[in-house]
Amino acid sequence: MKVPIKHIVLFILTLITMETALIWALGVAPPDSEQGDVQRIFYFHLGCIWPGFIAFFYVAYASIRYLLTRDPEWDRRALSSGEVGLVFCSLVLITGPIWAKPVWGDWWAWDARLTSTLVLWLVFLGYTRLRDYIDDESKRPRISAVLGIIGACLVPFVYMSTRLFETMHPKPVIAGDEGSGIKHPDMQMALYLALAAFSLLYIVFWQQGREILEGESRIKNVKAGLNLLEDES
Amino acid sequence: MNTPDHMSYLIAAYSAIWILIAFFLFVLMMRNRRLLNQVKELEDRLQDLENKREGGSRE
Repeated sequence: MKVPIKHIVLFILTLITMETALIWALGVAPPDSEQGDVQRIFYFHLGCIWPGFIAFFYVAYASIRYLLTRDPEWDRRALSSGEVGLVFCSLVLITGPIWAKPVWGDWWAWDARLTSTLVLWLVFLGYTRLRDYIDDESKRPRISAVLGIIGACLVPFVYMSTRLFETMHPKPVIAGDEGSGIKHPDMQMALYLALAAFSLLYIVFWQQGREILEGESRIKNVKAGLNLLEDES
Repeated sequence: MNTPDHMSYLIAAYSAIWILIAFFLFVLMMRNRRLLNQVKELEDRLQDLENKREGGSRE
């Protein structure tokens, strides 16, 4: 099986960016004056969620395209993006409490940001698993597309939740208010590298997932054709 | 803040990230392997079908 050269280049680029991001986050960026080294969790925590948000928006886009065209390729693109988004959202929900324990003194707080992120994760867990429980193949992608669009509508609410409600969660760093965010250039670089690394990782995973889904679909069609031929002979 | 205890949180967070990424990569690899097995199964079935047809045409 031949792997296209652009896939290899993308994979190597992702590895290099991820390695550089790791070096910057753990070695080059200075420790935070208040939180110390535990603040370094933040770079990969935030690095995961932005590509995760993009993944969920892409689910909505591809789902709308599916509902308009009924082309199964859009359903596969949406599903693959939803799966990667779910993984990234899981990373956020795991690293967040690990950071919160030493800083807040507790693993979890039922405030608006944390709860809405958990709801987002549950919606996309449902989105990726729902199709296993729908027997009607014609309804399966349609219902999934509607759920995917509803799920993506939650993303702006998750982002805005720290502004709309009083929360323990820090205020937004990206596109945040004046005074929020990080000022040290090495800290900013660590964040941008993490964002770039996870964005590239999203593309790598999404591409792989989409190709596997396409392969499964094509094999299913060939099997159906072969069954017919075997019945005839 | 830089107590060894807090460093353990940092190590735990980064370990969790790599474990989950490796797990997802493993899932993708398994799905890929299953696809290859299915292709092999289809090739075998196609071969059987061709053999049957050849046998039928000789008779």
